[in-house]
Amino acid sequence: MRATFTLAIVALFALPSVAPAQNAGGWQAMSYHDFQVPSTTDPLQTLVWPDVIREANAYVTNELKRPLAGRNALVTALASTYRDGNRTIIVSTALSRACESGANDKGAGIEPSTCPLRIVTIENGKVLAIKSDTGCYVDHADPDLPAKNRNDNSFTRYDPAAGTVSLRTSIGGRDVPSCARTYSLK
Amino acid sequence: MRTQLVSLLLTIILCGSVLLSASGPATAAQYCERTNYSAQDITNAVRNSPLRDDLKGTSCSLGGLGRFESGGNKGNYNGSCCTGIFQLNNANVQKYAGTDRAGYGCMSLQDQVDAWARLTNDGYNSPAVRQLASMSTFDGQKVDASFIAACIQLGTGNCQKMLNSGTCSGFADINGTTICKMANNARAMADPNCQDGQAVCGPSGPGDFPTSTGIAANPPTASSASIVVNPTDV
Repeated sequence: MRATFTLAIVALFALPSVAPAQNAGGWQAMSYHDFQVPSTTDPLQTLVWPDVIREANAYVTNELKRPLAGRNALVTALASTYRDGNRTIIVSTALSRACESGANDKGAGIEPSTCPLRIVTIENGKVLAIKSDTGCYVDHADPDLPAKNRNDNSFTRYDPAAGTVSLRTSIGGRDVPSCARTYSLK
Repeated sequence: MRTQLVSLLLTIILCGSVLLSASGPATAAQYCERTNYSAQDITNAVRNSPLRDDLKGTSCSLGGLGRFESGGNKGNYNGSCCTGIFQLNNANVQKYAGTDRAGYGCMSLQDQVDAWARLTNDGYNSPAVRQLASMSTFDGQKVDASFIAACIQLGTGNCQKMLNSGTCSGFADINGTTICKMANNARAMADPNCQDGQAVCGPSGPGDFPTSTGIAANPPTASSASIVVNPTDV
């Protein structure tokens, strides 16, 4: 367990999308993550969403009666990572059954899901705080989506002075007003 | 020279078509075989699903809902959000069927209905559904199981918007389908010969709709009640 945790912390510094805090004035597109391949070094799997992955795995094996064959259930997340001095801040939303996901209808269009959001602050290799709230998750782009939705995404902005993380979501080229939120880290 | 010109022309056409297919609008698509399940077929799958028993009581109208959504074609993708017999959106396909849109469109009717049933069961506990189930009518429409299923179908967040507005028009999808209209369509498209378990399709009157807390737990206020029964009268 300790080794897993250490590996995860080490892996934090290898994340390709880590943004330094001094770039905080701009919005950062959240990156898409698929957890089907289990990892002991991915901090999103080991630190941020381990309980959600466990629940999804239990759902597939117990409710859907499908074997996982060493893989995880299809759990996906959006995430941004910021570096602020000794601190690393991970902002992430995960698509789980706790999300409210809009209309199911032949006449409906793409809507965001309102999902669990977690902001994990790590300092000197230790998890300082995990803040839980809700935030918008958007479908991952694929070629079958309408052209206008292939750039849908959620974006974050970290303000180290104010100690806040802001989130906004664009669907079909327009920001969704209900998805614009600012979260305090204090 | 002529060969080079033909090659150039073919290249331009090929590149153009690739670019068009990459940036053009997605259209409705078909995953796996096209099916034409009847309202009764869908009703039978609902009865065999893990759907809560109180909602199964009006499974005839839920067969109608499946026909309304997909025409009985389980592989239908509407070109934006939704796929399958009940047109589950992309997020709910992943959450409740554990697969992606194409995988879901190729699942059996029963597996699709089972995923929809689990979504509906979860939605039943949402604040919006509890609020709706505590009413006998909403905007002049009877609140019955079809109405409650339509509330969950169009999204409990959207259903809450309708409830907050006080009118059926408080939420409509991009085609103008309201929750009230969907419930009416589901009732109308049920198999006319279908027999529900406890009642014929479309329960009538307050008290016929399912509620997990029981009618006695949701009494009207004394000032609005026409009959007041005191504890000593029982």
